[in-house]
Amino acid sequence: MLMKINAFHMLAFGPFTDKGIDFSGIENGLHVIYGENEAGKSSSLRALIAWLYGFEHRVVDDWLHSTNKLAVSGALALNDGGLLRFTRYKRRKNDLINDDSGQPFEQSVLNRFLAGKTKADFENAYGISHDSLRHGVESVLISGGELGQTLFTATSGLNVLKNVLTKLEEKQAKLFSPRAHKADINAGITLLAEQRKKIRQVSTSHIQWKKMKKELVHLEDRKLEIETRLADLNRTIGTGTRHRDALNHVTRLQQVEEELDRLVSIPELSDDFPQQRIQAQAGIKQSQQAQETLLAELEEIAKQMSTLSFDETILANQELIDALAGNIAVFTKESADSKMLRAKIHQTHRDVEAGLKLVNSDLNIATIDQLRLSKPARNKLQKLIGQHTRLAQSIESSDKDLKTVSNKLKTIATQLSQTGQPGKTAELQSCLERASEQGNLELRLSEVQAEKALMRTRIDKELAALGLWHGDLESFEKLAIPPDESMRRFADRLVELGQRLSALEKEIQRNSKDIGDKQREHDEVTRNKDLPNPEDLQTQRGLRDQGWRSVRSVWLEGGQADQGFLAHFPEQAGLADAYEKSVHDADDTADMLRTEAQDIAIAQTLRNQIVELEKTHQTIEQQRDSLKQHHQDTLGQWQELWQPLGISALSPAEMIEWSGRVVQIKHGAADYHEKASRQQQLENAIKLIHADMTVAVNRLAINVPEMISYSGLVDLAKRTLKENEELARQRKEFKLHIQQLEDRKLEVQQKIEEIEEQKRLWSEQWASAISPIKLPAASQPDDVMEYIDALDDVFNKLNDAKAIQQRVDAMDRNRKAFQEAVQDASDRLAPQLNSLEVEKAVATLKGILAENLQHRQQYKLLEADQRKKTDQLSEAKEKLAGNQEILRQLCAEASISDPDLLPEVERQSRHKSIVSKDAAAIKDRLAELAAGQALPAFIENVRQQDPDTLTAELEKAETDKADLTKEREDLVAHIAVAKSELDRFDIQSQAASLAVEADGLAGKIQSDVTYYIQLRMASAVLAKAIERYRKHNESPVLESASKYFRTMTRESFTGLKADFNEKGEPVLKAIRSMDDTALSIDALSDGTRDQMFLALRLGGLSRHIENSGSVPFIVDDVLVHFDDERSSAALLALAGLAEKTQIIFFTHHKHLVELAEKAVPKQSLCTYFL
Amino acid sequence: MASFIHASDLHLDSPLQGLETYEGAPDIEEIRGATRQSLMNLVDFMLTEQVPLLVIVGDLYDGDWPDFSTGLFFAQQMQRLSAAGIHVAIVWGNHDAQNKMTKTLVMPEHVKIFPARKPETFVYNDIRMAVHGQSYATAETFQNLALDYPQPRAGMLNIGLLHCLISGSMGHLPYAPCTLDDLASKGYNYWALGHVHDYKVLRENPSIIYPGCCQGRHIKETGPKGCVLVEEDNGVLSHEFIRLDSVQWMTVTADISAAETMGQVTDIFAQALEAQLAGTDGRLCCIRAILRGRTPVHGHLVIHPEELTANIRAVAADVSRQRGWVEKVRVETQSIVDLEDLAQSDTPQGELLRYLQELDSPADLEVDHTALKSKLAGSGIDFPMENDTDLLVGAKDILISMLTDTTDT
Repeated sequence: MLMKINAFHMLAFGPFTDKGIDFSGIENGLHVIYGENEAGKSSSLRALIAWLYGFEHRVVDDWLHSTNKLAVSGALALNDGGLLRFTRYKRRKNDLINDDSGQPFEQSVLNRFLAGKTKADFENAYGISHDSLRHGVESVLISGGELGQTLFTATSGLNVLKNVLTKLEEKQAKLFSPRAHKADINAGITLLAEQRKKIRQVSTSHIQWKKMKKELVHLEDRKLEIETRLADLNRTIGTGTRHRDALNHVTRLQQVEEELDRLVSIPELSDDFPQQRIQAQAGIKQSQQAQETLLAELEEIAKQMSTLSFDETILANQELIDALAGNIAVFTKESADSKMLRAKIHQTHRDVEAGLKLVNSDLNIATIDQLRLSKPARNKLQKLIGQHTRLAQSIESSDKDLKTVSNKLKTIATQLSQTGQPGKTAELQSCLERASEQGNLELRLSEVQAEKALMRTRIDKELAALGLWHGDLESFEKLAIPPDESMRRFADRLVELGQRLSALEKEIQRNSKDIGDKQREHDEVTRNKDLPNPEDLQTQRGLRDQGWRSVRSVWLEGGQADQGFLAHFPEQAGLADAYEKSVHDADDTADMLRTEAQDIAIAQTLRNQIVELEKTHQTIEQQRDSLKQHHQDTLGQWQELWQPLGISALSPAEMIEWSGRVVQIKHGAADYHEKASRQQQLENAIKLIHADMTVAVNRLAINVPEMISYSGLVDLAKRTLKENEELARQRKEFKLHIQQLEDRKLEVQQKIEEIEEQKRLWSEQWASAISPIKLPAASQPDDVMEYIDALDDVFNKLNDAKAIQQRVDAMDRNRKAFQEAVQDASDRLAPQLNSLEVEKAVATLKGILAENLQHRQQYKLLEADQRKKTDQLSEAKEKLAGNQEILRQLCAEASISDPDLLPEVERQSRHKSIVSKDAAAIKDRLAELAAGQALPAFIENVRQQDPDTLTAELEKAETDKADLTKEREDLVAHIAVAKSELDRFDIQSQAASLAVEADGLAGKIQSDVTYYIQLRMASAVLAKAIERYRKHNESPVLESASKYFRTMTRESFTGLKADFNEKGEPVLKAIRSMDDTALSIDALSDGTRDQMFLALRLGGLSRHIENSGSVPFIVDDVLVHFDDERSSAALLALAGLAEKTQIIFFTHHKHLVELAEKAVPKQSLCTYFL
Repeated sequence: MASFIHASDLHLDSPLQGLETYEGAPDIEEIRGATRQSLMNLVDFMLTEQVPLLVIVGDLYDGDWPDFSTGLFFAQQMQRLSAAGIHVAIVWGNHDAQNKMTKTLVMPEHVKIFPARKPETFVYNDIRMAVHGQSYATAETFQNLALDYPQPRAGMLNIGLLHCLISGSMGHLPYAPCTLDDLASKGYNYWALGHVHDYKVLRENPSIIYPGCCQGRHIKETGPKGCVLVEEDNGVLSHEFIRLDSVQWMTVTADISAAETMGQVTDIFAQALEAQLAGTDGRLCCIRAILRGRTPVHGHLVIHPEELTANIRAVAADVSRQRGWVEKVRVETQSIVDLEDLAQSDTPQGELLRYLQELDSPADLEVDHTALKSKLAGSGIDFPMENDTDLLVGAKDILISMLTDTTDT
């Protein structure tokens, strides 16, 4: 166990304040943490991660506690048995504090205990949530259950694996693809090529530049020449045209000047002359009519004014009269108020007198003022009253305390007397310690007995199954098996002999085959031919010679024919024939030896080889026979070796294996004996402790039943010990309590005395304080306060009455003043009103004033109208005189005396003006045509021109001009083209600009290429790593995962296996138990996929624990898609794994907690509620 | 007081390299005309300060530059000097010798070019200076030209013009190689050298100086660029570097260990950039951004280079007030995740890490790049060396980052 979380405490985090979870309750079991929605399940998960790995830069759990207050603490149990207690704070530095030393320490120290797992690893590899489970399942689905990826993903917790692969591929595709046009590198290279081409296009050579420059100069020269010629032509055309245009104007000018001479006597009147005349005549008529009307109106006004009159004295006092009228309402109200207030004062005085009588019959309004209390005196009284109340409360509470303490004392003393005396327990305690040191002896004993019995059964079975030998265990243990070395020696020797024998057999076979081959070759050569050999020739020649000798003997010596010779030729009739035959035979053979020499030689060689091979064959067969014998001997020796054991030995190899089993059984037997001795030891220990403990218990006056078991005795002893200890503890507590109560009683009594003294002092001060209000010293505070309040009430009422009296006096003064003012006004303005009441007199005065005001108003309006009309009359007279003067002046201007003749003179003057304007216009036009030449000289030049000649010359010049203009336009176009071409050679180099861009682009592509290659490599690395992982881990992980899967699916599936898909790629499949069918991942239901993935995670984890020790595994509500049965199974599986590593299961499903409580044994489950 | 200007390696119209255009980049026209602008700055300076002689020590143009208008521009600028009676003495360098323009251009009256056949001396009696020099006949001039230079002229300020590499210098082709002692022994007052693109004073008495190029053109030519103003007063020579460049190249390295977000990355980079922009006098700057340090954002930067580049460009535009052009962003950061322990575990992640550790060469991955290679063929874009382990390091980084940074995937 690398480490385990012992306790975890959210001091201030999310919704939690000082919330702790203690995991130390069970050693190896499943910790289920339940929290409803919003209860802070997710917060506590985050808190756990933050505690181990530090807070995130931005936290979301700072809504109850401010960010800088967040803190999580806890304890880690380390593999060396130590305990690391530390607190994590949210701060940049020193965020980790060791709770024992109070010193900060580094994350790296903590990381060592976390086996170097990073936060991400921890979350991935040692945590699984519903989300990560679903992602994982998705990832596996996407990969089609590909075996490597599935194992890698499930066991690493890196559910994102497929995403990473996809992302890598996407990034690659964005950068480059052989056939893509838009990928960055592809597009970049195309663009780069275009830019380079453009650079070449815009770069040009110096020779071209020179040539084009020369061409441009030539074109510009020609253009200049044409422009000079065109200027000349323009001049000629200009002059001619002007002369031609002026011809008509000159003739017309002459006519106009003659007309003007004729009109010389007519006066030149101004343009507005007729208008002036008409205006003057109309004005005269209008003024005469206006004068008559105004005179009539003035007369009427004078008549109206004479009828109006008004009094100036009344009008002068308008303000006074208005003021009096305004105040009359106030006067009336004050009269009424004054009456009512006087009645109120009277009533108040009567009330006060009556009230005083009630308080004290000696008091009346006249003398009451002596009883007014000063402010300090009143304050002092109130203070004393306050003290009185507090003293009274203190006395009451102290009395109560005293009573309570006395009662308690009585009760506890009784309890103490009822509690018995404890016995001496040292001996019993020592016995129990001894028993405890030994552990649970009975359990150990029964375990040992069971194991021993099991071993014996196993040994007996193994002995029965051993074979070759039969007997009981005792004689078996004495069995002396030949040493291993001897067996191996025999084995080796026999193997060697066997090998040599088979080698020889093979050689014999090979040899026989060679002989056969040679024989066949020989037969092939000699087939259909009876080939002679040199020995045959020799024999035949010997026979021939023998025949010749016989012929010679018969022929020359008359001898007998050689019968031996003749016997060789039985078919021949006589010696001669036989001899002839022998000569033929010898010759034939000699011939054949010559003609078939090659075949004969081959046949001879083959024959020789066959002989050799046969010899060899014989030798090898001899060797084989000897080896066979040797082999047989060795086997005999082998059997002899086993004879003493009465065993008919099998082959050495089999016997080695057999003796292995024997040794194994012997080891088992040794273990069995050891167990038996262990059993004996335990039995003795129990017996000893049992005896001692019985004595110790008896000493404490407890009867021990006779047949009590060891464990019963231990329980009894423990109980006895505990009871005695409990008695001692209780007595001690009672005594302590009595002491404390007595102390308390004394304190309370002292306090009561102090209060009595304070009370006496208070009485003295009280007597002196109430003396001014003439009350007895024994008066109670409440009575005194009531008396003072009654007096206050009287004083307040008297004050109110005084204020009302002052107001009444003021109103009386006002009314009198007003009456006098009215009287005065009547005297001055209307003495006839003297006898009237104030209100009436004022109203009449107001009426007189209004009448006078109206008359004066009407008079003033008529006066103004009269002034206006008089002004209008004098204005009309002035206008008439003015217009008459204007008409007279106009006649003078037209040089006549009768105004009626004026229209005719006006007409003639207008005609003369038109003719003059014509003449001026003609001269202006001629001046324009003269273009700066003096006008008389120009007119003279024009008069001398012949119109026809002039027209002909002009036409010629126009034609020339058109031709030259066309040529110039062409030239301008050529020059523009040439210039723009040359502009490309301009020193402002476009190529240089383009080169900068091309270079930038090349740089970008270069880095894209590098990045692309790295991405490709990353993909390759990942793929290879996955494959390697699969190879190394496939079977152990799958084996373990299969078990979990079977459990979690309630054996609907028997397990998982590596299989192949239709493409032949390795994939993961689930085996359905119903029909043993292997189903691919996509054929599984949602829930089963979850179970499969969880099984793989747990399989991977348990393998990891086996290899590397454990780190807590955090499970966050992964059973969402599990039905109740499978949830129970999964919880049980988790509890099983929890025996090897700590598992913390977070959930917000109450029913999962219930399921866990039902499914998991109590000692393996611990539940916490947030 | 006599004076002259010593310039070399103008590389007119040679493009500034590696500057990809992007939204928010400064006005490209300034970049395009940068080399021309440096020549105009040179001419303006001479006219304002009335310096009577300009010596140019080779590499006016790029050897393969095809556009004649570049030559016309040069001639136009020389015409401005000539009109003011200023002498110009030029030797062609390896690049000029290669370029056809060199032979065709007709130079104004006061501009003289040294022949390539043998070294010669131009004597300027009006300013009492004798200038010795020899042009390159071909680009492949690998013999020691200095040996045959003429004897100094008595009573004159003797200036030697040589486009060459001083033996032992690294990183340049060994054109006309010679030693400082070869040059010093000639008895000239000043050796005006060309070819090396950095300003370097190799020796005093006599002064032997490379003025460097007039305008940096890529990220290897960082810092101020210009020419050397040499003045003689009573037989004592003094020299001063004169800045001519209008665009400055710079590398800005930022340690972003403290950054946890992209925003903080750009903030830190902005500070580093601001500090470096201080010395540029408002010049347009071409910037290579390098990010270093162990940082939590390492993964994100590796997975999203385009986002990082866009952000760095935006902040550079902001800080430089549109005067900064980000040439490239290099991520040299490291992850804060310590993978050592994880690599030991039997988890799939451990398997992956172990596999990565075992991988020595990209070739082991057997990735087929044929399609990409054929696409790149002839495009001028290089396919990286396939056994380049940096590629593998990059690939590992991407993979680990994508697998650990679950927020992105």
